[in-house]
Amino acid sequence: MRRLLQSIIYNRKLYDRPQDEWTCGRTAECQACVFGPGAKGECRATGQCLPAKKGDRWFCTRAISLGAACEPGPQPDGSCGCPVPPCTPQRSLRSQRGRLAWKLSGLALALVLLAVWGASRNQWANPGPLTPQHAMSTQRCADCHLESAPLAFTAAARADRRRAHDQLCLKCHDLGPQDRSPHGLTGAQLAVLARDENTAPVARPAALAVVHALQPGGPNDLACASCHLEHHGRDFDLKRLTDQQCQVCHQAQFDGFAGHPEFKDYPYKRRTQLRFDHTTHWGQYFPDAKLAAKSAPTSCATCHEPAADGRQMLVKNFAQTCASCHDGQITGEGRLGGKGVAFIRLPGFDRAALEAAGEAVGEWPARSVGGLTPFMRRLLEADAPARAALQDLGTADLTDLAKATLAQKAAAGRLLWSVKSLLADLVTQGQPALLHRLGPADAGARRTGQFSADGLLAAQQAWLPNLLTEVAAHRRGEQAPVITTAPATSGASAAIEFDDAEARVTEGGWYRRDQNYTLYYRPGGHADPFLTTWIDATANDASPAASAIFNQLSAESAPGVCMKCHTVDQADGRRTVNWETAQPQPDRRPFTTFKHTAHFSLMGDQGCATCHVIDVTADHARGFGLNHDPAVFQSNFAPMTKATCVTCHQPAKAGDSCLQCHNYHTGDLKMLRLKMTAPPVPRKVAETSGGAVTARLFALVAKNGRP
Amino acid sequence: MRAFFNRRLGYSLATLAVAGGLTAAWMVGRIALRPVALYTGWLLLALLLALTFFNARKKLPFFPLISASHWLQAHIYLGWLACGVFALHISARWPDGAIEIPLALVFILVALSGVLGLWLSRWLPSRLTRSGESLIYERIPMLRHQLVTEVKQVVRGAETETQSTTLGDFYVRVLAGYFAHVPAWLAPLAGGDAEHHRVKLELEALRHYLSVREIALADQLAELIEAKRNLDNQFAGQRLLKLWLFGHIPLTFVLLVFTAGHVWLVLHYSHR
Repeated sequence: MRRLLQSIIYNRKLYDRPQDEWTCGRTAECQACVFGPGAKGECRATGQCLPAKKGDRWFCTRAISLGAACEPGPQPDGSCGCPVPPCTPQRSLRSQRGRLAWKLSGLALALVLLAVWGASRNQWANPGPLTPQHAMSTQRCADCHLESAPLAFTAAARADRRRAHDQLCLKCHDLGPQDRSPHGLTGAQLAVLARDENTAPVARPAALAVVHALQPGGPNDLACASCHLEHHGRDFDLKRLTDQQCQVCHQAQFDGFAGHPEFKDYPYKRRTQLRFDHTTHWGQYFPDAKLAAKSAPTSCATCHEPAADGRQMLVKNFAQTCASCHDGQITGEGRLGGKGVAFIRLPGFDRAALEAAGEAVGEWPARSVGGLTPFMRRLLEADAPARAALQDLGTADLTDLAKATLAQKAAAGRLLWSVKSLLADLVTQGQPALLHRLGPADAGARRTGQFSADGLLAAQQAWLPNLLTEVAAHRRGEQAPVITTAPATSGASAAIEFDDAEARVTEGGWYRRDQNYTLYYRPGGHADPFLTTWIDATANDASPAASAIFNQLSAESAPGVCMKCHTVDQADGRRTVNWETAQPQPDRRPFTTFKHTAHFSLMGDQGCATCHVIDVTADHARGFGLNHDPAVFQSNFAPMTKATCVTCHQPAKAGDSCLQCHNYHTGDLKMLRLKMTAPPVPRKVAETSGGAVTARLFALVAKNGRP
Repeated sequence: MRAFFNRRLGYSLATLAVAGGLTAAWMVGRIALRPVALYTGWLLLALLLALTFFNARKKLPFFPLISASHWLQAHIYLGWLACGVFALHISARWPDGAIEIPLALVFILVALSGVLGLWLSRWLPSRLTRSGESLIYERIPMLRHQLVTEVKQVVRGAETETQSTTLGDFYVRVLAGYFAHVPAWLAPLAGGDAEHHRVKLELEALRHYLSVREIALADQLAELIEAKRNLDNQFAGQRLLKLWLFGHIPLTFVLLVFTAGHVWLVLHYSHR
């Protein structure tokens, strides 16, 4: 029979208390007392039992497991007859474990409190290193986090919290008015896009199908942190996003570039800024032997070159491209009729009618016959008396006032004095008088068109030699002679033929024609300052005179033929003249980005035509002429097809992620840049010194390295 | 036994199914740009509290809660689930924060100690049952003392009765050290009763030189040696079953503290 160490007799069993904090120190010697240690670990041993008193006698109560009643029995005072020496109680295993747990928890709590409330909590509470750009620009958690925000549990509270946090991001990263909406677009713009791109999904990935089923409208109220995860290490890509994440909101969802919807009109989203027909130039003009001799282009690179960032292909400047064939057209070479623009003219008027009405206009050439030029009208409109005279004159013709009313005749007289006054101002003050009449304008805007006061002075001396005296007397209120015919122009001046006057300024400039008392300007070449200045100045000027100037100068047949090539865009009621070809716009981020230089080595034998194929059937002219809407056009080139790109853009080749070709944040990149502010000047310095003194003081401090 | 197997299989499959569902939801949420780290964090916190409540349940026996054995089952499977949710929560990226590094480390240590405890509690009890009489751990020091006393009595009796010191010499040379020996902490993992067999073989070899009376006493000693073997096995095994909790439970407390700090930081600073 196997020997059993533990007694199975019920009254021989010991009473174990493994849950107690303390155990008797004599347990291992089989001498554990029946009382056991106290709650605080003190030994409570006195004897083997607590004698009980019955009547006047004490009886032993020792447990049977300890041998039942002892032989000596209790002492007369009731104490146990078998005293037990005290022990040193030991902690139980459970107690040791508990103490270990509390000690470790205490250490952990100290660490946590240090992290949360310690002086270095910005370092301790940091869940991970920031990317360098944020690590350099932030000093503490509160720069990017709402430290005092209440804890948010409800959906509305969390949305508020997200918005508040995003505002901290947007404090530096300004994304414009639609800063929190997808792609920075308004709801209406998104709706238009959704309508335009309403393509049925080819094969929606399973995960996206689930997302789509759960969120028909896609995720709304996106936070910056939805995509840009910080505290993931210095080298973490903040812009990392999977293709599936890009497509969550999109109606057409697909696996990889192969499933991407076919391009529609990429990359020809608008007409070109310059009206240039590749079909006719390459098909008819360039192959011509005569033109070929004038260095007609032989390849696309003759006229185009990549921008510095390699993305856009630019058009070279005028001198490198169009000048060899078109320069003469601007200065008026071979042009039939006048080559200049009439700027100032002494208008003709009905002398007989005015004399009869008693209107005195003073000295005035008898042979003046023309009307006011639009430029003069624009300048006269700025003068209140002239404006009133023009209004009172109404539709009456200056050269035929026979049927005009007395008031109209009086208005005609006032108008003629206003013309004289204008001439006097321009002669004596020059360009400042012109600017004064044109009114305030944006800083830096050119508006005088290099107006020549000396040219006008010479004309005035020939046409109205007493002009300044007369105008001065008129302004003093003195009565002028009723009509005085100005002296005839000098013989030498009169002998200058019409064509000769223009021929004196073959490279552009001011000239006058005494036969019709008109001062002209002849365009001097490409980007002529007079034409560009006046076209720009009048493009969005609502006055009738300004419109007349714009219409005159922007006609395709106008001197300078600006609009033969340059186009005018009209949007939101504003006209913009495209003087420049498409230029890199670092401030703009489009949806699609493409780097030409990265693809040069991939071109086939066709060169640029590998991708840009001329479409001979396109009605290119439709987009120009009187059309000012850049979106209405037909490109010279056939839209690119996805097949061209997908040859290389596959996962195993050049890659096909969404972000390879697309930007999420679109619009004005100027907004995406960090808002940089000048460092503040210490208040004491600012109060005690002026700007120059401050600058010198700071320079001194920087040099000496001490305040 | 089959019912036990079926139950375990059912719970395991259910756990795997839940983990698979959570992983799928996590993937969908990630694609949908949802704050999945926040969601998995809350879930992990709930799981941690549920797991911790197993310990509290043992301290609240008076509440009519489900039985401790069911709690243990739930503790085991929820523990495995928590490991999966933890992996989703950190997105397989080791954290870098001063709070998050120890938090992740402690979580892993708690999980590993839990797995160790699960294995020990499955592996050791059957070995202990096969070893012999089941002993109450707290009484083992007392029983060891009792055994030593008995051995000494037998040896003294042998000297008195037979006037021979053969068994006495054997006691001094072998038995005293053997009975005083306390097994090492990891003795059950090392396995084997080599020391015990050596002592028994020596005693067996000694029989050739013993008188009839001494042989009878040697038989008593052999019984005591066998009892000591079982006592050592019980002691070492039960001690190991208690010692793993010295890692699991205190680290759980630490885990809760770090978790509280982490949750506070997240709620305080989170952008979402």
